[in-house]
Amino acid sequence: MPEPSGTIWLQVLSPQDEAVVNTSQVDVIGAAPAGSVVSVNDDIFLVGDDQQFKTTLSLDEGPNLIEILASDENGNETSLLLTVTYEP
Amino acid sequence: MHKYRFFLFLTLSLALLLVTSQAFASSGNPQGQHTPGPNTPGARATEKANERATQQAGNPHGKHENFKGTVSAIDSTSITLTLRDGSSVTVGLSADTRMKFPGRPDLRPTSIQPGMRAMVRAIRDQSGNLIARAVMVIPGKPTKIHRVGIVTEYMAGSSITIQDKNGNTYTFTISGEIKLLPPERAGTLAVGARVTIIAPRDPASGGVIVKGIVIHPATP
Repeated sequence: MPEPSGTIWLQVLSPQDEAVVNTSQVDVIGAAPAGSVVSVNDDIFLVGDDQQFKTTLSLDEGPNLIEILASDENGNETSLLLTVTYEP
Repeated sequence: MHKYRFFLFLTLSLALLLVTSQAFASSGNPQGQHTPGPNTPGARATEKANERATQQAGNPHGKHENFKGTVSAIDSTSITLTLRDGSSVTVGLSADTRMKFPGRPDLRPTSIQPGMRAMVRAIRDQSGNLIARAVMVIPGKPTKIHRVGIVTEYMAGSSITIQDKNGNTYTFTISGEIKLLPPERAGTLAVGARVTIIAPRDPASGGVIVKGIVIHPATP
């Protein structure tokens, strides 16, 4: 279920906050309202009718910050900050 | 005969004393890893955090341990975090500790202050002390912003100014390659277009440099 926050919702299915992974890349998978703008670190998406977004990020060894923002045309914005640790 | 008995008694006494002193000496912890401290909540919490860290590590001398929390103290030699469960953990800093400040290249290790959130990746040295391999500061707010408005000025490759629904105007620098979405509406980017601009929250020396522009469909 979408997580309400203000008037726009943002849901991140993967990765989980504080996840520790052993690969140098991680898939960020989530959902937001159709037509909303989502940025995941330096990647930008215009969310389609399926409300899904997905991108693959490269990780540095050690702790990494994943910053996900979603906004709508009215200027409503919500965000999530996740930390993911890459342990080779 | 009396002399012989006296020396025998003396020898046995010395041997007994030696054995007894060794027995007392070995009753302590030879590695000194567990030292009962004051029974304060803080001390108990720290001890609990260290115990948990050791449990998480499995191999306390070889595996990295990760801690996320709020900086409660920091100096040139160590950083102390208050963890989510209220416990605290102190990790040593060294010249090899890597500092990360996502989205804030202006920050320096001396910029880390109590109250900031941070993630620490640490490893235990031969003495069992935690030493930080990396410290990453977690920003209180996202390092980027999404700004929605109507374009009031646009100079391709140079700058773009928008006015939001409250009448505030924002000017952004266009430098290098930016992402225009959706590609089929890139040609409609002009004065009057409704856009969302993605840019760093904190201005760089050259102004707020646009990362991307999303052009929304024209409203009838």
